[in-house]
Amino acid sequence: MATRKLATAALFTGIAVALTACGAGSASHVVAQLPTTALSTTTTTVAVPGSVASSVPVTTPVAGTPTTSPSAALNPQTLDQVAADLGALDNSLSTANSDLNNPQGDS
Amino acid sequence: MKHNLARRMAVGAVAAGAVTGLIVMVPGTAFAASPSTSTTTGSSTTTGSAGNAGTSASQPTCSPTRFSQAQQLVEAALAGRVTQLNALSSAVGNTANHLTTGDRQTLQNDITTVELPGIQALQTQAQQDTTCPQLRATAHTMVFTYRVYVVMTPQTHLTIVVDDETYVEGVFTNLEPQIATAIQNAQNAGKNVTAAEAAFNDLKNQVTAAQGATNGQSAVLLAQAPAGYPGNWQVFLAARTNVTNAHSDLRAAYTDAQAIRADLQ
Repeated sequence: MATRKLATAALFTGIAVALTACGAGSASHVVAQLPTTALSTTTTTVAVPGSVASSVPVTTPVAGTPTTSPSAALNPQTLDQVAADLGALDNSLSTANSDLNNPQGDS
Repeated sequence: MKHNLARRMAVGAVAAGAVTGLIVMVPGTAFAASPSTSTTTGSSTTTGSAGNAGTSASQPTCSPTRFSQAQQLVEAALAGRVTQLNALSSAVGNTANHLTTGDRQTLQNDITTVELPGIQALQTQAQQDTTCPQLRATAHTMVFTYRVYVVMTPQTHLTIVVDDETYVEGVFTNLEPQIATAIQNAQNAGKNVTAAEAAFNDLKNQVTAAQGATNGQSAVLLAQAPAGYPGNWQVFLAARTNVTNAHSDLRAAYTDAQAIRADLQ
C-alpha cells in the first residue's frame, strides 16, 4: 500500500514540477528544474524484504523503478516540455494576434 | 467581429498612405484587391483612397521634382519587407517550434523562393526607375503581388501556432493512458478518486475540443495567397479565433492535470 502511494506521489511530483514551470512561462527555467529527485524518492523508499523486525530506516538505493509504477511510463521531462511548449505557444499566439491587430497597412 | 473588414480597410488605408497612397497613387482604389481599376497617371495630384475618401485629402505624390523623395520612400518600404521576410524565414526555420515537415517546407519555399526574390528584384527595379509611372508600377507590385504584411505574415505565424497546438494535443493524448493508470492505481490503493476522474474527463474533453479547433487549419492557412487579399483576411481572423480557443482548451487541460495531481497526492 505504502509503496503504491509513494509511487503515485513520485509520479505526480513530476507533474507538479512541470506545472510550476509552466507558470514561469520560460523554457530555460523548465529545463533547469528537471525533477531529478523524483525517481530517487521512489527507489529509496521501497520496502526491503526481511526488514520488518528492524527499526533501521531503509536507505539503500534500489536500482531501477518497479515496472508496475505509473512513473515508469511517465517521463517527467515530457511534462516539462509540455509546459515549455505552452509557454512558447503564448508567445507565438501573441505574435499572431499582433499581426492581425496591428497590420502594417494593406500591404 | 472586432476587426471587421471595413474597419481594417479604413485603418489600413491611412496607415499605408505613406507608400501606397503617396506612391502607388491609385485614386479611389489604392487598397482594392484588384489593381485593374487603377487610374494612375503621371499627374502629381490624386484623390483619396477608398478607405479614407472624404476624411483626409490625399497628398501630392510622385512628381518630377519629388521623384527622388518618392524613390527613397519605395526603397525603404522594400527594405522593410525584406527584413520582415527574413524574420518570417527565421521563424519558420526555428526548430524549437513544432511546424510539421510539410508545413515548414511549404512556408520556407514561399518565403525564400517566391517572396524574397521577388521583393529583392523590386529593390533593383526601384533603383533603376527614372519616372513616376515606373516607380508607381514598382510600388504597386510590391504591395499587390506580395502582400508581405497582410498575407504572408499572418499566414506564417498562425500556421506555427496551429502546428504547435497540434503537437501539444498529441502529447496530452499520449499522456492520457498514463494518467488513467495513475488514477486506477490510486483507486486500487483505496483512494477516493472521484474528483481526479472528473478532472481527467474534463482534460480529455478539453484536448478533444482543441483538436476540433485546430483540425485542418494549417491547410486552410497555407492555401491563402497574396492575390486572395482582402478576401482572405476573414480566413485569418477565423483561424485566429480557432487557435485562441484551442489555446484556452490546452491551458484548461493543464489545469485539470494540476487538479488530478492534487487529488491523488
